Amino acid sequence: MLNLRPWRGLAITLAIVLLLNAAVLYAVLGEPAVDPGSLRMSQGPEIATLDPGRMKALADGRIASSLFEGLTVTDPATLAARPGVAQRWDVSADGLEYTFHLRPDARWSDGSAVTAEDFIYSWRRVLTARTAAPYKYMLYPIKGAEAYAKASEAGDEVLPELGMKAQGDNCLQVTLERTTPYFLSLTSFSTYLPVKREVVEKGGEAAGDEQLGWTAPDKIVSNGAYVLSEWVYSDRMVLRKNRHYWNADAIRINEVRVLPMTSDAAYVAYEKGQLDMVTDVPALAAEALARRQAAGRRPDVYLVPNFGTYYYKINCRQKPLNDVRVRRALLLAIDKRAIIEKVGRLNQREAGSFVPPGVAGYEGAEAVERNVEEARRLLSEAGYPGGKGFPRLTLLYNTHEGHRNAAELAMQSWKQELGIEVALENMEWKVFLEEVQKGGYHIARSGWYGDYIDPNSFLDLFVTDGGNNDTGWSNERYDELIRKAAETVEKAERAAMLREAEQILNDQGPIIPVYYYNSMILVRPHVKGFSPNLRNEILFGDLWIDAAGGKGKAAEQGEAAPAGGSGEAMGGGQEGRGQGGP
Amino acid sequence: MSKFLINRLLWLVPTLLAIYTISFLMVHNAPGSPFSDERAISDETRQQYERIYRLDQPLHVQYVMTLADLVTLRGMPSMKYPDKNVVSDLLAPAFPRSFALGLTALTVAALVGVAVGSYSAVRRYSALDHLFTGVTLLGVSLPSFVIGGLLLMIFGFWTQLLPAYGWGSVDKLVLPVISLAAFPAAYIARLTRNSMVDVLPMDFVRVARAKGVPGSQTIVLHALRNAFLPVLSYLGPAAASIFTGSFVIETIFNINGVGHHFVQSALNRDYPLILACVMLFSTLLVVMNLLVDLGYAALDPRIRYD
Repeated sequence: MLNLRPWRGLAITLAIVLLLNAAVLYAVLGEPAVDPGSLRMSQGPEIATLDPGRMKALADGRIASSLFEGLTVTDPATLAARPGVAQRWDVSADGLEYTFHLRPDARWSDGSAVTAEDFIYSWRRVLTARTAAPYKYMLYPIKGAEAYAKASEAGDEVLPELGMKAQGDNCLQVTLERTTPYFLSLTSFSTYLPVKREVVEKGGEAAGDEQLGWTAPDKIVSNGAYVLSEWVYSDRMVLRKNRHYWNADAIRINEVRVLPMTSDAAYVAYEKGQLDMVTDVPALAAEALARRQAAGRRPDVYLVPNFGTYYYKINCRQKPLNDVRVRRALLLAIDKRAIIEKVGRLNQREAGSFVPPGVAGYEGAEAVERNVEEARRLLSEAGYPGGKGFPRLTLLYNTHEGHRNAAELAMQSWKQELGIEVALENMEWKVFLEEVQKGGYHIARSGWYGDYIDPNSFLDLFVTDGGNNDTGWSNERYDELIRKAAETVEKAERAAMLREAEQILNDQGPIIPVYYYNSMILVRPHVKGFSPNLRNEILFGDLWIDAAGGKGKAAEQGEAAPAGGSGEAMGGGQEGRGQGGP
Repeated sequence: MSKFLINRLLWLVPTLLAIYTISFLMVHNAPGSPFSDERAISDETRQQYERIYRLDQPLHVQYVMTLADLVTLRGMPSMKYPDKNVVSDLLAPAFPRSFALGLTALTVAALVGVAVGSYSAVRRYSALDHLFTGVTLLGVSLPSFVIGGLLLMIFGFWTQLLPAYGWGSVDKLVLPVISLAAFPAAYIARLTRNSMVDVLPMDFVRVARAKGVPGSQTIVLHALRNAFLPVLSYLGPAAASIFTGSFVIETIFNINGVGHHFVQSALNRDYPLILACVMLFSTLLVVMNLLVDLGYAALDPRIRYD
């Protein structure tokens, strides 16, 4: 008979290891219960912050606009301002005085009333230096705001008056520094959203008086359609209907689950019917989906034009790029079509100028058409016939396959058409930013998304010494036009000035616009009320789920494109403002 | 023995301190700023960020304060995710997942690896041995994203036998565990085989046989006990790295673990999170190595720590 005694030690050891392992799994595994009527969506990686005053990215703003409600709300269908906390407003004839009448039934999620003072506190907080709000300049149209922010940064004891005044709890008077035709839209922007003073100032325990950490689910108080019920980093964010919301009866989706995922996983989950909405689709799948959508087979696929431009910027400080003719030659010779077809691949629109189309009442500058003959002529006029004697330039991009492919095509255009040698150089995102911001480049890849639907959101980039003007380009007439346009009330007149400025940008070529961004959004057919728009604004409160549509699988399946091509991080994801890849 | 233990435990402190110091200096000298973005922020705003995150303080003050925050596990706000504390909100929820996944993978790898390796050594040059040698060669050569990707294609998409991604139930664990266990299992199998081949002809094994100890008992309790030592030394560092997650596996299977933080924190220049990750890994590493040394003594009576 086999003697088992000697085996005892080993058996006990193995049993302990296995039991331990099972215990660990038991403790860690488990799935949260999901409300069957919930909207499950993924917008790519985790958002950076839920503090509206400190937000930078569109994805963050999207959550903010469902948690918090501003004086106005940007309607996703029209992108026009519709009443939010303010039920109506009056604007003075000169466009400088706004009187907002707040609805008396506006409530915070703790039941207390939302008052005019709440807005004054929130806006002042953004302008206060200690808050370090990256988008504080969005408030600068308000009278005294810029001076206030500067004084606060300088540490002044006495701070300037701000153009905002509460007339009782329900009336807020705002005076502007200068007429700002898009001011109403601004009041729905995340930087303008109200936060509750007591909650913010109590803050998180760990962070003391820095007002960090108040956005945790057990602390946050909000005034929008939803409240934050759970937030586990990179795992799930659960929004639940805010029963104190003034319009709670109109909110039809009780629970929204925002699930941070890689675009590959999100795509698979969507095709399997486990997600209802995806705003970040992997590049390879997107191309195939776009084709099927064009063939009318995927009505759940939305290819949405965005208010953003993919472009190259040129460092105008040194030879030979300080010569307009050289810059224009580069602009005229580049083959944008090829970049769109081989790299962008989402049927993007060729960018003939910097401002993307879509602004009502604004007709952009005349589109720059590719003209190789003219490019050659300009180059030889500048002293480099056929590229002879032209120094070797470097095209810098942040490490990413798409950017590299686009850069290779640009390089090819310039070599073939102009005989110019351009070397490619890639840098990791943060190093790239540092290099570009200190002007250590010749030509650099860039992208920009407008903060508000107005040409100014693009054009004020290139004013002399503008914070985001890394090109060293400066033009007096341009500066003057941008300044004057800001002071002009008459819409057509203002549009004409901005158009002239954009034309200068085209003629002077400190940038080479390549294409206007498109993005792809997948929305299952049973989700109703979705309106694609230039800014990818989605208000969860505007959506509803049509139970009759069922939660079945996507319209067409089994043909799923390979979920390859991981969405590499470019520093902040596709929708980080201005950072998107091809 | 207790003297050895106290000695080793005391050595942990300077070791970890040295790792912290080097990492701290490297992090603070890395090019690029945690606060930079495509959209430039004003110098004044950046100064405010620096104040909030203590970067305006002298380096030695930051050094001490950050160390205190880490040692007490109090943590500090992340620079990329200012709403989140790097310890309580970021690492604490993610680590149990990586740990559970890693522990399971490592258990599977050790059991399979040792069994396969021993069999190969005992039945050297048999058909199965050749097969195992080939498979383990593949296992150590194929990167995990290839294995993970293949498994995902086969079981997640084509046959749809297993869930393709996610976390929460045992079936979702199968593919990531296999992908994660593949390399260590193959490596352990090769280690065991080589080591067993050396041990099997040794005198003490022959003595055991001569005494009439049954074959299986000779192989497992006598030969393997000795041959296991190199495997044990591999398991220590392997455990530390597997418990702290794999960026690749976590990305492929959409698991929210610590592996993700190791890579993303560096790309984001999220100083507090980088340091927290490095210290988590180093602590695990030194503790695992200590456990390995203790394991040695338990397995090999010749090893004594006096």
